[in-house]
Amino acid sequence: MIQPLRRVHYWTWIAMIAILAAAFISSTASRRDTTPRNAGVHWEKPR
Amino acid sequence: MSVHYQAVYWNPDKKRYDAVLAGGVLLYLALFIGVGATVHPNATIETLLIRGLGTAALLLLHIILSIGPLARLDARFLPLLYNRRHAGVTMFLLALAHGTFSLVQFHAFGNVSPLVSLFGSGSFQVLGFGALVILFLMAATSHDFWLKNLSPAIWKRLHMLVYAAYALILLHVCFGALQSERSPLLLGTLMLGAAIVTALHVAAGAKEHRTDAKNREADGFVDVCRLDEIADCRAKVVVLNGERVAVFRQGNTVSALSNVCAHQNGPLGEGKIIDGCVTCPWHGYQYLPETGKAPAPFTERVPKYPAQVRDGRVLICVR
Repeated sequence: MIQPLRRVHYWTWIAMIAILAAAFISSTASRRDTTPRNAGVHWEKPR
Repeated sequence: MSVHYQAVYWNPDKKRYDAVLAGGVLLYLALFIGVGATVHPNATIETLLIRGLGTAALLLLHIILSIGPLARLDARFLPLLYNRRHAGVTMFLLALAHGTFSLVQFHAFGNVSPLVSLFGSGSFQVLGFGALVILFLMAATSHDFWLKNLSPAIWKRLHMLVYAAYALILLHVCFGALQSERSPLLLGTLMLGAAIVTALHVAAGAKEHRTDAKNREADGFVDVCRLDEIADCRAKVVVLNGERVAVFRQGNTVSALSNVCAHQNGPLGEGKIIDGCVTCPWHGYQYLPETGKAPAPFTERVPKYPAQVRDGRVLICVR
């Protein structure tokens, strides 16, 4: 049983290469501002 | 392998393992919050806790995912595998605390339920929630009780969902924290971690594929190797009809057992014969090499194959 299971592990990680690469590329390309651009305002502790 | 039920078997090794684990987590959190409060004096303690717990869980997940392939590539890493479940449950608790603080911080002060707010936002936090559900299922079943009741095959497949959780968590980080935190160092560290884990798994899989291909033979008696190629009280693993067989040597006699431990599918062939019993390297389950049965009063057994030595060569009979 363990041999087929380990083969599944292997092919899962081959697929993960494509999935993770796509995640890094798409997230970097779609970066957006989520905090105010005003340097004097800190969203964690507004004054 | 017990005659009475006991929830958790504690021994000095497990206690040492857990002490190192707990100490490491606490040290990391103290460092993260201490350094974070110094570098970002405007950050609130809630923010530091959310990020500290999240990064601690992520770091621990990378370590957990690396232990399996490291142990297959080099037996010196096997002790790390021994109590990996505790690391997994610890990782879930860190992720749960991260998720709970985040839910309170970002969704609890509106006029709708926090969960409605979470799913209504359609944000990266939904990805993290999905990963948390998977991690909960795994942590809740990280016990021999569930292993026995679900069967090893189903249990293993359930726990392979950790790869889906890992992908969801990386997406959660990429589309969450890394959208505003644009330091190349953070993105580079995350990519390096993913690259290391992936490379280790692929390397371990490729190593086993090469070993299997080398050992594959036709049905019937198979000439495995010379007797002196197997160290005394150790084994050589060969593939017969797609199943791995561990061929153990004791002096001038050999015995062939399934390589799959009845407890948790551990690789028996990477273990050794201790006190006359084949001993699994993962959790110490034992089997008599002559029969494949666990010594009384235990009832586990693994398949046994006929084996003999002829002219200094080891032969295995496949039926």
